[in-house]
Amino acid sequence: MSSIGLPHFLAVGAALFALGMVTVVTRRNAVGILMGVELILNAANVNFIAFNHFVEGPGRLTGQVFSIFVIVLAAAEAAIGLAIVLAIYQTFRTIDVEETDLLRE
Amino acid sequence: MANGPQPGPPGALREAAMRGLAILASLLLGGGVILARLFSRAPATLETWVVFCLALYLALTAFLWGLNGFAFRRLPLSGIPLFLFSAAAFGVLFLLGYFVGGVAGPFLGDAASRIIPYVHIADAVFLLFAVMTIGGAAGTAFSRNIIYSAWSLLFAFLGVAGLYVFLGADFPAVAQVLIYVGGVLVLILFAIMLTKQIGEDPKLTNAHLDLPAGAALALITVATLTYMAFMAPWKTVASPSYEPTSAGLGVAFLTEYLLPFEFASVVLLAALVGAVVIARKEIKETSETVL
Amino acid sequence: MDNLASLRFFLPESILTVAVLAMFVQDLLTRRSARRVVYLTAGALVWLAIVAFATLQMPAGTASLFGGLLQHDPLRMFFTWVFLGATLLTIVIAPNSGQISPNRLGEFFALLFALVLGMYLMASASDLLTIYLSIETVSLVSYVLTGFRRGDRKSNEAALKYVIYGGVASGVMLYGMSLLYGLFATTRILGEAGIAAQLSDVTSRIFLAHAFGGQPAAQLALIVAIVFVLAGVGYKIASVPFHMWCPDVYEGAPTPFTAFLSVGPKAAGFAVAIRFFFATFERQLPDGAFAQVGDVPWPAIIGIISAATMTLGNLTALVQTNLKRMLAYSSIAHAGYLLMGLAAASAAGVQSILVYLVIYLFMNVGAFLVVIAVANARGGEQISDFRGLSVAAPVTALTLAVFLFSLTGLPPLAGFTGKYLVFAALVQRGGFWNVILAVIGVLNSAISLFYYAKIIKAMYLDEPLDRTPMRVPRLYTGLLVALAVPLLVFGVYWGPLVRWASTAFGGPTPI
Repeated sequence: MSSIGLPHFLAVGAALFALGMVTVVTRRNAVGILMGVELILNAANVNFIAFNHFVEGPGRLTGQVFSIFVIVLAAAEAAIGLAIVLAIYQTFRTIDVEETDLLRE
Repeated sequence: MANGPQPGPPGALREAAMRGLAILASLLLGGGVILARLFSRAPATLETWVVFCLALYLALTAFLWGLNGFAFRRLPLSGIPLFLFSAAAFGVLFLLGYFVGGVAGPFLGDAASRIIPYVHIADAVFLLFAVMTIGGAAGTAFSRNIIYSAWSLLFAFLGVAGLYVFLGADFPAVAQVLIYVGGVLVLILFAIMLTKQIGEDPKLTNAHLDLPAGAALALITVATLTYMAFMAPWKTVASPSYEPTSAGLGVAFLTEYLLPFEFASVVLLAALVGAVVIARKEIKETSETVL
Repeated sequence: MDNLASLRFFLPESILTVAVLAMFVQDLLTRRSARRVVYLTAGALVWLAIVAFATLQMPAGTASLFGGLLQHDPLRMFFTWVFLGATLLTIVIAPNSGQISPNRLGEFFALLFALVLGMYLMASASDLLTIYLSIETVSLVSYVLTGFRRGDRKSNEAALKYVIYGGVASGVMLYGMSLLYGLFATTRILGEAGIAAQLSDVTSRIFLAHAFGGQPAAQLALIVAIVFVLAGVGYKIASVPFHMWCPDVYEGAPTPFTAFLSVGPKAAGFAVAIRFFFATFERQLPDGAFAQVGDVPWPAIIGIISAATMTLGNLTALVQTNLKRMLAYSSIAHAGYLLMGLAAASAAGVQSILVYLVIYLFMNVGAFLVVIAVANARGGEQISDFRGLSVAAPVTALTLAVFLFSLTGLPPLAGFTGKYLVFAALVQRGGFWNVILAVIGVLNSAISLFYYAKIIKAMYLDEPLDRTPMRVPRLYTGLLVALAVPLLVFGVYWGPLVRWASTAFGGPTPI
């Protein structure tokens, strides 16, 4: 009998979420920030699949279905986000979010 | 050595050879002394200890002098500074060896022998994946080089895929590998390359704004969420199933979740067109939008 | 209701899907035509008319669609009309705005229809999955349309900021949803075993004691989950503290899309907020008490957010010199007024939100339309560009004055009606803090008069920038008048609007 249960998976999810938040908050590189967003989405997905396995129980797949949709939308979001980053690079010649700051009062 | 005004190729070669020989000799001497000490059955007396330490010290000094030609070019050590430096290094190594041999080693061995019988293979695999995931995520968050961040992200994604397998979610695991590793990560690497992030100073491509505040945020978040994860009385089922779920997922997508499934295709279409719209070059520039 | 039977209630969305594809095809077919702008606009209007007709044909009543993923009810129908109005105005405004290249107009319309499709889903989503999917659709397309002005630095930068804030907000919301799923073992909100039903069969304290042993960690999980979902919805309606993206995005996006963004997705956000928070977490219980899930008084928290949102929005708007940016802050402030209706936690409060949204559609799109007209004629969006507009373009100036006074909430304009209904709902709900919140709302309206009046002063009292008549497209003038007249009418005769809203939401949504 394995001693690994739901809380351990949730803890991994929590760590992923926290590290993703840190990445988003502290990075200056736009690509770096988008990586942080991917970490947050993965954290939510780990939760969904863990809850599906341990809470919703056999025969029900809501969490897994949800996680597939998250993966699909994350890919779409990454495509758009990185396209915007490329557009930014072509106009600003940098992707440092501290320097792309024309819009302010 | 060989600090002549013009070392020249032959002089430089000779010096390099000498330093290499010194390293080799020091390794032989040090290794020999340590092996002799380990395998000798005679009880250690004060004299043998002194000889042992002196030999090691000499070996270390020779080793450092030899390395001087390759590693510490910025810090030319010779004469008395060399001997003082090697003495300091010897002291540190001696204390370290004493600690490992006398204190930490037995303790770790004892702890390991107590723990090992209780470790299940499954737990070890879980720990492997968890460490891979969290380590990868930490690398993504804290690496100063954007390429290292991206590669750390690979480990995070693969670790998460491993966790999915562990949870009996085979299809999400495969999707994770195919889409995240094969798609998103490749996109990210392309974005890094196309924005010339691997330029002259690769070390500073991923600077931080305010790391201490970020670390504090991470600690608070992770503490709250982990407390919640362990303390909240989740309504877990008695016997989780490890059956493959691909067939079930297929049925779910075409019955209960048909609407989101079809809708996702529209979203993907819009996203693809959108990405092209944003990233492509304008065919005919208007005066206002000249690049 | 199963998938096949639900299709009858899903007709407008199906037609929108076809319209997205049709606009792409039409864009290809008319690529070489000299009159492609006319063709594309006409095509988009025809498709919108078909969607509106299909929406009109929808059966009345309430139904649960696609096995509980969507909910068909009068509330959904109300919001779809708001969306259709905003879309119609955007389609009419966009071709002449000079901000969207004729080469890309077809793509603009196609993506706009995809966005409207997402908003339709937001208005009817009754499952965490459909809520996430629809919000994410609206966000993704919004990023693209914000960065639509290729090579324009501000537009690109706005898109980057939007995608970063939006990605984080949706990620956080998703994490909250995963916790809700873990707590309730379902993602359905409505229905027999849905989250709302699980929460409402007993009061929250008993519920928690009953289901989870009443441990503080369970409450914490619930609170974290709700706060995280609130973050996602709050980002969509640009409420404090998730408003940072709003001024930058509004300023950088093409103005026709800014006008749409300030009305459509905000209304859709409120649709989700009403369905999720009102139906789920503020349910009126049989004994008249309000559920305070996790022992937290959610209406009070929404009230605090609302007060912070409108105060911050108004105070920051005071110092703006760019009109587009000022309208962005004013839009944040209006999100605050709208949240007051949610804080009232009553059917009257929700009805006041609905009425306010309709009025807000007219006055806000109108104000942005004037910004487009002036920016095209005078090349700037600064307040100084509006000097002496009353001489150069009297009708435009007059209508802008109507829009701005209406945004302030001065009688006898419709903005007053909206604000009056919101404040009335709060006072009617009673309680010291609700009255205080209403007073804060009134004070904020007074503050907003300062910056709106600054523009009106520039238009009427300042030395004209240019005395020659300003060229405003006849279409725009007609549209401005058409937007201003309803504001005058609804200001004195709001009965039909209020009746419509009260049929749309007659209290907590029946399960």
